[in-house]
Amino acid sequence: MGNLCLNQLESEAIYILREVYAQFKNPMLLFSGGKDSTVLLHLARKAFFPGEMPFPLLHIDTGHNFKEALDFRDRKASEYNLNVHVWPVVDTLRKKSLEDATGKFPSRNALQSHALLDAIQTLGIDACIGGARRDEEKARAKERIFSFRDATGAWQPYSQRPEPWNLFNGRIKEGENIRVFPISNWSEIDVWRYIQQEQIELPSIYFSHERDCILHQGKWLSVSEHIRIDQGDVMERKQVRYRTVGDMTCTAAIESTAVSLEEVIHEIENSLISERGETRMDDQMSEAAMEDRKLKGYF
Amino acid sequence: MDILRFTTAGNIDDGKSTLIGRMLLDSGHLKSDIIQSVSKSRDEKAESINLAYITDGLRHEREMGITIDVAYMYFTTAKRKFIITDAPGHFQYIKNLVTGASEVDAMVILIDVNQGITLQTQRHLMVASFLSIPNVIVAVNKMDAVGWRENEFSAIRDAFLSMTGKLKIHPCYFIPISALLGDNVVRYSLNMPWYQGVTLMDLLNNLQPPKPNETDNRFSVQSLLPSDNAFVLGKLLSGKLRVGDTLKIYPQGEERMLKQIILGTENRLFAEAGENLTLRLDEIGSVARGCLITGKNEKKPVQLSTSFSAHLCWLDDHNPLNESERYILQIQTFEVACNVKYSGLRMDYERLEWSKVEATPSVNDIFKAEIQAFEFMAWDDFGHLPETGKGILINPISNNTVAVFTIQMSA
Repeated sequence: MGNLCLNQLESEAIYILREVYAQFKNPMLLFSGGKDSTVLLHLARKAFFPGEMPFPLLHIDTGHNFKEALDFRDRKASEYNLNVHVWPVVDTLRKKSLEDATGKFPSRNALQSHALLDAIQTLGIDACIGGARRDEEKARAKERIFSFRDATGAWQPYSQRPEPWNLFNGRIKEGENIRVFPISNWSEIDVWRYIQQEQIELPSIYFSHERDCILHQGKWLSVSEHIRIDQGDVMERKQVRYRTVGDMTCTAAIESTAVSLEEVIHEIENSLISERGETRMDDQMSEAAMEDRKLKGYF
Repeated sequence: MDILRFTTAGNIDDGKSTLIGRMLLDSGHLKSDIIQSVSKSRDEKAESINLAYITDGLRHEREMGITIDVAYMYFTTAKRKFIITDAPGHFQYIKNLVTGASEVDAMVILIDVNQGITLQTQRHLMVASFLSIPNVIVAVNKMDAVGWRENEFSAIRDAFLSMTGKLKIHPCYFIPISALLGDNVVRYSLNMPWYQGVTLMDLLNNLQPPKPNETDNRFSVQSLLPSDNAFVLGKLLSGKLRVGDTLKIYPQGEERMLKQIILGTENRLFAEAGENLTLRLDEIGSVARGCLITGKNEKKPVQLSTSFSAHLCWLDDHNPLNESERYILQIQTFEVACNVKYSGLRMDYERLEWSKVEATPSVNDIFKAEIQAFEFMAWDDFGHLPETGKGILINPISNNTVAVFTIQMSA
């Protein structure tokens, strides 16, 4: 791909990030160490060069993360001298007397919304910048770039604010917030090509490595203390990489020998399966799984 | 490779979402798991795959079989990346169509050959005209249902052309298609040998996005750099800038010297339209968010006044226009309180002309008005420089965006 497409996408994202800085008092950038939020961080640093990147990072920490992603988060934070708020989901569960996830794959994915809303309220955040993209999922395909959330944190998909041209209206009342998605219009392949163009560093698990896995409904799940290994499970040492990085409890690895960005890009260009379809167990529970989570405050 | 944005508009059951599904499917952009999930979706009048389910991403949309709000879809060819905004067709959702159609390079209007041009088609055409969309493509759908006959197609084309004469509509293309069967969408139709033109996909692949204006220099200030207020962050909307230029700051009217241009992390001697830049001026003074920066000697200087005439489209479904209400006007990053005085002229969607209507405009109405601000505003005629000739109105109580407008110098 020539540079023009990536330049236009970068330019749009930088414009949006600058709007966030100008329009909000206490915006934060949601950062998990995944590829999309890492691209977002890169864009934010570029948007404010030669000045300091003005957004503190917020990590809603499920406690089920890949160690490589957490190490990467901490290393980037110290390398760039960033202010990071780590918000453990378990703290919110305890505070609000909520039940933790259970089962073989105890996903705290839906519980993250409670923690995010708790963090927004406690820290007084008026805008959360996220790396969600519209091509990921059909409910995300409907969302505005400045996505208004009411005082309960809910998305209102049937009465979204008009968003004509590039005129973003971030006005809110006390208690409401805006979720901002600067890379809304990027596709998975755009993200990878941009990572290649800008030589952005990623956690090592995006590239091929050996890992102990179990096969569950056709997907390879990493063996970890976060999932329950049952008697019938067969453990295998596999050559894998991660196409997306979420929780260890709901993100599947894919068999791959791709060790470089060129090889990863080649693999994605030829993949017959969508990004989330190949790697996420949480979207496949029902037809409107994402819409339902967003109604409850999910990002 | 570049980006082309287009929107799709059509009546209920014209097959709009089916068309998008078809484009994604036939260009190989639907992944197998998505096709599987679409086939799984409950659908009583089902063919094997319900292509509309691909774009109707919300529960009620799937249940009611309609599009309520814009869905954004993406695909790439060897030549370009496409951003599709699949916009609703119903009159009550015109406000969402405005969001979906506001940034596009082309609008694809779908007409069911059995239905012909309807009131809905005229509304879409009005929105295309209001937003000054550079290309309008008419896809006459369901040609299979009329035995692929040319007569039916030509009749619609002729009727459509007689309408566009009344409106300022940009280049129009007509393509006979069957979205359901795929004829002339991505694959050439063997059923309509009388049609000598290109497929919809070929047309979209070769459409030229409008070139930015390179002569009139307009830079909109988003903010000052957080940790170093000597720098200005913003976007060059049109024209060119060069280090050493003498600039004029609006609405103040002060002059500055441009000392440094940064694009990304690199120093530049020149900047071009569309770039997001970091500028260092010889002195910041009163420069702040909302300022418009131009060259010192512009062939067409920016207009400076407290009022202008505009065409508005009202988007608020709770409250009609209130002439005694104070709204916040936003042009690029500039904001000011204003009143809106209705001219009494409103677009008649049926006759496609301005007509006298006394009643206050409400949601989905396109009308002429005078906007009177409480301070000086810098602006341009929309027809000449759209970037600085358009804006939104915000209700300061609800915080909602209640209208879009385009500034008309000769209203």
